[in-house]
Amino acid sequence: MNVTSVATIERDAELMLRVREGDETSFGLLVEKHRNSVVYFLYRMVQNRAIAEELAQEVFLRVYRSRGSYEPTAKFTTWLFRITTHLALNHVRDKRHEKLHDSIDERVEDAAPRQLATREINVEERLLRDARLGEIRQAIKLLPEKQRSAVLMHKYQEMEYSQIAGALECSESAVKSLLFRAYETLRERLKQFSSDGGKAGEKVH
Amino acid sequence: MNCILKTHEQEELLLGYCTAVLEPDKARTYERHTQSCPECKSMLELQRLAEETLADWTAPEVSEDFDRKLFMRIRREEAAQQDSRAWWRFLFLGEWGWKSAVPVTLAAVALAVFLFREPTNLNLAQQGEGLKQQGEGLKSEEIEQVEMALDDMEALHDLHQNDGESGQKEAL
Repeated sequence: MNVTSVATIERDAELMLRVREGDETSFGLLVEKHRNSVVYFLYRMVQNRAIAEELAQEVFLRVYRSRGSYEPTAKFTTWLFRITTHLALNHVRDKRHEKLHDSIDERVEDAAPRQLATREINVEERLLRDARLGEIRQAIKLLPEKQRSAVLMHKYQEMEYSQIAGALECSESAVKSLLFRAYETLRERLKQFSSDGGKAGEKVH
Repeated sequence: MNCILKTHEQEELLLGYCTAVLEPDKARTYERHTQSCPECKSMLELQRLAEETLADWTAPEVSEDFDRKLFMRIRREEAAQQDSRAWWRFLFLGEWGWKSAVPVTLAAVALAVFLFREPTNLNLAQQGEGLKQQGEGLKSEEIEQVEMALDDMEALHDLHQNDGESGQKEAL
């Protein structure tokens, strides 16, 4: 952990302690700072923007409600993501038995705006990239919930194994195991897009 | 060709290498290994492809009114809590002035009167009706008894007269 991240953690905890004392401005600062990471994580978990924002509101409400009992025993982001994953996993579990509706409309509504490439990419490259992206989104969606949470925190929040373990309330070795299995699934799904179709790396049993 | 690394070790090195958290020595050793191991080389290529694809997956911007909605919910929740606290204080902690207690007390008394007095009147009325019926019952019985007694007296009188007449006849 570098000096900047230590300072950031201390700053977050300090802000939260101020919130505990009734300083609402500090809560506003915390929301401003962590809003995007929480919403983006939830968006990738549930793959629906409206639901992601609704869940994120609930996350921050819970943070605010818990201000009175807050103790800076864990890193603020670990605590925040523990609440976030808890809500996300509950939502995913509640919806597990519901019919998956992956309609075209939903895809259009929830599709992230395409990033403007700094260089011109030709149509073929773009189609290939979109296909790969669709494949990985689908693969992420089909991952077991804990693997999904672990891989999203690892990739997008750049959280360490220990932090992910704290958020998921499991051991570091369990986190590693979750990540290895998740990435293995993702690599398997992307084999069709690799130059040799992944044949070179196939294990000989 | 089978890799000399154990699956767990292979995965840990791969992730560590791709996220640049491996120590420089370990990273160099792993790099050399991937040059000679097709399995690890392919895994590394696919992992890089996965990482690139995940990086391409951007999330939509958060709604502009996200914070406004959040703080509105907080205000609403706090207001509801304050209302509920105030109500409990009002009810149980007696934080009210004597002026506000007057109409409440009057209302309570009126309610009590309504609840307890009406059934009493009703009971009395019912009792009165019962006694009246009882009285009527007694009167009719008495009349019958008196009538019966008069009939009996008349019958005795007749019998006495008859006896007197027959005695006179016998004496004669």
